[in-house]
Amino acid sequence: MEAGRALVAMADARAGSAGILPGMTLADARALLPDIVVRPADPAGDAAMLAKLADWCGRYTPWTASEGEGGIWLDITGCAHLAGGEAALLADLVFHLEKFGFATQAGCADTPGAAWAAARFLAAVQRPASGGIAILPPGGQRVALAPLPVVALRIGAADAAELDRLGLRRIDDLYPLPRAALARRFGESVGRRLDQALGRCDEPLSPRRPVPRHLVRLAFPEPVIDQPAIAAALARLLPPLCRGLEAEGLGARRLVLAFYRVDGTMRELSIGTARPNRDPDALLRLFVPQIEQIDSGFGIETVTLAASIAEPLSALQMVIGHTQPALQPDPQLDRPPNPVIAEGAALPLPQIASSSDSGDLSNLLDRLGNRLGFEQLRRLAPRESYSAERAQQRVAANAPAAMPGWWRDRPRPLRLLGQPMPVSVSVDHEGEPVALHRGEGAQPIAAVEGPERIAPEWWRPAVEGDRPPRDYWRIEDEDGGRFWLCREQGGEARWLLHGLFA
Amino acid sequence: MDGQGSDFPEDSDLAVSAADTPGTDQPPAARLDRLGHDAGHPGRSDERIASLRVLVGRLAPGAVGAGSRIPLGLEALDRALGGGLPHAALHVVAPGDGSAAATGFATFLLAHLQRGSDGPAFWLPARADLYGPGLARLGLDTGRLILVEATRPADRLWAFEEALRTAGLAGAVVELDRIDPKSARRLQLAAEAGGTTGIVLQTGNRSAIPGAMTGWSVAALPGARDRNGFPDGFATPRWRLALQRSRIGQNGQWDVEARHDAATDRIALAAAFRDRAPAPVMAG
Repeated sequence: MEAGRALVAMADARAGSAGILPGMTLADARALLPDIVVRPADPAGDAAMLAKLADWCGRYTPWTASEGEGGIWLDITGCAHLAGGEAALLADLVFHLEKFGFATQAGCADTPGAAWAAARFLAAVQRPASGGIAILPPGGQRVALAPLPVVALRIGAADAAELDRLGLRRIDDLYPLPRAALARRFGESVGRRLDQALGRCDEPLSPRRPVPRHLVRLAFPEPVIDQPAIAAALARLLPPLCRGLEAEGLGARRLVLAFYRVDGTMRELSIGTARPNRDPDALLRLFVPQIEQIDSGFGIETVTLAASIAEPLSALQMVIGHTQPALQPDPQLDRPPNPVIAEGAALPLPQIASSSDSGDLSNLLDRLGNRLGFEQLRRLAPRESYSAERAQQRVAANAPAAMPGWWRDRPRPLRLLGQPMPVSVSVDHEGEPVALHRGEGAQPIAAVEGPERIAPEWWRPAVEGDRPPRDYWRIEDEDGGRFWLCREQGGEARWLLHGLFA
Repeated sequence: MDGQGSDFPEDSDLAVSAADTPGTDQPPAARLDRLGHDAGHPGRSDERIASLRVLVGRLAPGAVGAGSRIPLGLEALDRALGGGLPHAALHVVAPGDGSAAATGFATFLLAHLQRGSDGPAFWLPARADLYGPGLARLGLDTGRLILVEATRPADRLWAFEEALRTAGLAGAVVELDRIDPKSARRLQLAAEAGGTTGIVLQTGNRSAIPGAMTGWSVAALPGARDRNGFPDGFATPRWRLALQRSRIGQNGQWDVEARHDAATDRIALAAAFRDRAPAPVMAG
């Protein structure tokens, strides 16, 4: 809606052929075609749907991105042969998108600019409404783009109108022009778009998702629904991925398993490891709990497995990493290498050992981390600080953290309360505590050690602020309960319970 | 009787698995009673008891003195335990009062287990309040300690079972208040399978946890005074250990102190003598 009038944002092919164009008012559109179906424009929803489609196109190549209001980029360099060639890939893509209900034109070329033009202007020549495919031969963009109008270069409407006024209507009208003159009149943009389309300069584009360096793909001849088939596919994908990692001396830290379903959506599962790992059996075991939650919808057509995070892992590290051999010999490790699976043969279902068979510490950490979150696995490490709370910090479990000797210098409580609890204490004339009031009644204090003054670290105003220095007392009551109390110096002078001793 | 082999269904309770003879629909307890009374001869009751013990032993491996022991260093205590704390088993430590003495005893046990193993020790706390310097004072090597800070008890229980199953760990302590009998049985089996000793530290509610190899209640005792009369309880904590539930030995109560031995740089348990100077030579 604009200024109280309803404007047409988009029209489909039939409406377009009746003369309804974007920008026209709804009243005019209804005058042209009385029985049109009108829906409110939802740009955000459209963009989201386009993004999901771009994700689904990941079944052809990991490099996909949405473009503008109705376009999807796919970089199929090096991927086309997996689908049987560029023509077959585009035909399959257009077929699927039309099945989902979208009018589609596809173009393929050496450069993004040429492909864009091919999709919008050349593919429609074949089939105006939908289903057109235009593939430009390598290096053939100069010839192919020549007869197209200048807007096919993705230049702005103002520039296009100006060029039109000057009589430059086709792209090949621009070829003989000196570049300096073009720049003087239109700035850098027109010349740059021309160079990008012809391949003389680069056009940096970013994919929607980071492209992993190691990725393996499996396409099913027919859509699969059941979990054993998915598990079998995973078992088949892991060895080649791990071999690829081994060839570069890497181990996986994060694996992402993506499913491309027949309804045009994509789902992902991921697992993480505490240390780089390229053992297919261990990685398969980490996926097992999640496989049960896969929603395969009406069927999964393609599955890809990628190592989104990989870190160096040498063969020596793999040997040292095992703390102790497993109690029972793991049958999976002793079996002969994967048999070569002939085309069309039934996939043998993998024997996925239960998690109780693993005797390795890093496998345990991986299982705990994948279910509870790796940030829940912690070690206690020292920090050089006098302040009690800051003397220890929590670090990730796979970071080494040797215990410092100075931790044992002074008696310290076993449990340190996160928030010191105010308590009321009666003191004698020297200021030493004599009785502790907790709940009902006063508990006389039988033994006292202290005071130990711990001042805040004044050089950290942000953390410690203007917290007053504290005098810490170790007190023991008559029954043997031992506590760490502190008294804040300064105006308020309140008593706090900070820790419990054994 | 042995037709079912050495495994019995994991989910079954001990009493139910005594139903070896098919078709019997009497409750198992009654059947055991009947076995005892069938004899009729006073002389044969000993044999009956012995055969019952064998039956229990076969049904519950590890229940009757199987497995190795870890001596705790205090002679009277180790004698009562039949040599020491049973290894690869489940133990429960509950607080006898409102102090952190139970935590101290659990720390001492974990430190003791750590010394006998190369692998790391695990602690699954209920809150993030463990303090490294305090653990270090009781002999725990925090460089070989991994914390699994799962806030939900169900997650802690699952992680504890996973840790027990893993070979090569020194031991694991979990802070849980209650465990249902089926899970306790699974934990005991997991500990035996993985060869890992597990300790359940109850922090609040002291409901009984059945099926554990030993059950302890630990209360704090006032510390000793050193030879100058100054309180020594912070350097050498004192506890009253009560072994309340044990499948392998007799119950008892001991007053102990955890003393730092300068010669070996370890924390050792010693008998605590009240109102006397601490014993110069410690046991173990």
